[in-house]
Amino acid sequence: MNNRNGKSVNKDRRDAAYIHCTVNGRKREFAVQPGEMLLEVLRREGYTEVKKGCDTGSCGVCTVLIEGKPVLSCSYLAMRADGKNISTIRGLEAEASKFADFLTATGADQCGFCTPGFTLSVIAMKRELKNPDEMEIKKYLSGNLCRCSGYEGHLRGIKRYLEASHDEQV
Amino acid sequence: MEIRYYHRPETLDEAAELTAQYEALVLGGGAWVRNHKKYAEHAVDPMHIEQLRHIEEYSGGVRIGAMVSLREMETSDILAARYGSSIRDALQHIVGVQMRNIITAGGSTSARLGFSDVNTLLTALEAMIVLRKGSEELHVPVEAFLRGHEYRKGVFVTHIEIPFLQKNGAASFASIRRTFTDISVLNCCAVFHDRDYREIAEIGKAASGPHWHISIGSRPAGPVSAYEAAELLGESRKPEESAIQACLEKIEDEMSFGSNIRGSGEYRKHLSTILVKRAIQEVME
Repeated sequence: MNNRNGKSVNKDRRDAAYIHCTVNGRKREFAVQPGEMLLEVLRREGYTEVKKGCDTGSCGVCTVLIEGKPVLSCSYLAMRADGKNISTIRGLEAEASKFADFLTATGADQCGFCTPGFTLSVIAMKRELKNPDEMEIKKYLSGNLCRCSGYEGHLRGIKRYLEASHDEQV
Repeated sequence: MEIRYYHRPETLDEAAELTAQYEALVLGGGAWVRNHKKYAEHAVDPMHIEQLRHIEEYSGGVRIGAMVSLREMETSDILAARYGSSIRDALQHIVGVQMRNIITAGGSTSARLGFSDVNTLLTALEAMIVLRKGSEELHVPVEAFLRGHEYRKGVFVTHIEIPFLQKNGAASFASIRRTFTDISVLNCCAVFHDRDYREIAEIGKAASGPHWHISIGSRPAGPVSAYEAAELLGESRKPEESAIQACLEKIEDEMSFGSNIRGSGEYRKHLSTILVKRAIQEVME
């Protein structure tokens, strides 16, 4: 088989690399192809709560937290995840469920496909920004698209969630 | 994309050697690797090279490692203290926080994309691109770099150096986009440098004394400097209204704008004077 450069490549002999990471608190070893994106690896390994949306780095649906920072797993090289801590929505169940209550209370949650990625971004925002105003919230979450709603319900839910979390801390 | 051998060097020398030896693909953030269906026999991932991962001051300015993420630049206290809100304004609308946590200073510069906000910013800030070519270290003005000077196979970006604005200097970035996260319809950066021009021998530009630098990008072609227009603003951070007017008219004459899906050339020309005016006014404040 020839690739575009005309060099012969035997796909079967292509070496897989092994990466070691911690996913939702559990140590894991994954065989990956260099050049492969983290999203593909996670879904193949059974982390199907990580959704594949646009697969072009635009929609935010595939968001996971790496060392606590939100990243698009469709645009993150799997090799770069070696040695890292990864959280999917399942690893943050308690916090996610708390936020989900606020989201459903404002009727913002509809088809639910964007919710895991969106929720992870909200949790990351809560940890990163102190008392964000509406514009700061919008800017932080602008990389998460929802095609069901107009975001108004989301924004109301987020504000109430942040207020409630703030009150708890005070 | 298929990669046959994935190298993770821990030193710059090792990376330079691998890159030269294999004519390897040097990765930036790697976000666009997915979109490239081509094949790379060798890829070099510089993420483990410690010295490429910091933002730090040196005697003449701020040095940014190629592997620093755009989000790290956007939230950097050092950059905010030295260049005001211009850095944040240029970066905050690029795709989303999750993407800016991935993509890097080096990758964004190297890609030399027409719509790049980063390169418009760096052009007006008169940044230098530090390249590694075998065992040699080269300093190339960003404008020369964007025109392909010294940048070829086996050469890669290690740092970006932004000179201090000095004393009364200030910078402002402005862009027009259809939505928060879309590519700019047009972007511009206006900077008042309270110091000498550093010489840009590669493109025949040099001057002395305090000066303005205006760059316009996403035309949709890449950023260019409006030298003649900027000269009309003189050597003061607070130019006369008539000087600003003359500068804006010159931009309309001097600059070429093209059409694409986001807007016509005529529309961009119209926007250019408004955006540049806003940026100048912000610098004057």
